[in-house]
Amino acid sequence: MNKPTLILIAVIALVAGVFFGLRQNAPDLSELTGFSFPEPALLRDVKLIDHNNEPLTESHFQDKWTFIYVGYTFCPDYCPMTLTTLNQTHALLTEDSDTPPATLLVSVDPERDTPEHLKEYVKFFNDDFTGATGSPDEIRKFADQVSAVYALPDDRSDPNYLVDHSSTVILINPDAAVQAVFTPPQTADTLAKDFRLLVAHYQSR
Amino acid sequence: MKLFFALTLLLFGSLTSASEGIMISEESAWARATPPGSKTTAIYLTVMNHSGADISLTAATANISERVELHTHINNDGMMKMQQVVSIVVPAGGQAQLKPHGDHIMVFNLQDQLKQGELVSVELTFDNGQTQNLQVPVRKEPPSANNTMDHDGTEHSGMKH
Ligand SMILES: [Cu+2]
Repeated sequence: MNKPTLILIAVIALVAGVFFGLRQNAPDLSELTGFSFPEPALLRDVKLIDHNNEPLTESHFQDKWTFIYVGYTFCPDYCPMTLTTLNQTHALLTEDSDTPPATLLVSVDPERDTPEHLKEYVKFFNDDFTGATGSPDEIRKFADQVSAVYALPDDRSDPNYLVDHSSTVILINPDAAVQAVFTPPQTADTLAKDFRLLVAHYQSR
Repeated sequence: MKLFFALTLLLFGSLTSASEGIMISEESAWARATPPGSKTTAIYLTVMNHSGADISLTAATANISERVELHTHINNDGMMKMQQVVSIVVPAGGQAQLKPHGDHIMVFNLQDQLKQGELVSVELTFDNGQTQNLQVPVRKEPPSANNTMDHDGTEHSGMKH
């Protein structure tokens, strides 16, 4: 064999090795419990208010992973249960890394959920959690982007009104794009497992 | 035989204050601890029916609020909707599980924050005339040791991934 042929074989072997090596590392997303978007859509024109009364825009989501829950604090069951689950998920993922994903509660009920009340509420579950809300239009625009659905009653004269909502958990990737959606009932084990798979998949791109 | 009968009665008496067939599983009962300023919570428990006929839970009261209702959740096209119900059936020889994302005792107008370790006095009324009084512990998380609260997908079969 002449020299150029040997070099060619070496190059092919190297390329194949890298290719199959990568393929081996790419995780199998068919094991996901949640739904992962093949082409995550970037969040756009986010104009929410965080629990410190500061503007929260799409830049909030850049360079980190964020779990979002869309709900309301008057909710006695799904919302506290899911935030409890997200706190457990946070604990599981803190074992993996010093930088676990962030968690954000977006309230669709700005009439009752002031930033001050949201702050008290999220801190009850975890000191690292953030709350946000906004104007009804801006909340709707945001919820649409993360495939969350909800319905406030038209008549809200009774202060005890209830809000129907999809109770989904959404995962935003470090590009500030919608990576995945988890429908209820979510568990800390499956959220943590899915999160690890999705991060590995994201890094293997 | 008489002794056996007496012992059985004694044993049952220690597990429950039930007569006529309804028994509450004490370790299943909990009330959700609340964040500061929250006005609502839910109470969960498992009711067992050892009789040969269906019995319905028709009312609940609790010493933490004047407004306590029986509720269920329905999945309305992917939206979770909470609804008041008149009663919750405990089937003959079976049980009714009041648990997160399902049937629950709903508490409105909470005056004080409910803190882990406190006790709530609950009275349950059944349509066979029975009433049950119990002390329900306040917890931040469900009593089960694992953090997965619901593995049966049956009541969520409408949800597609
Ligand atoms: Cu309810």
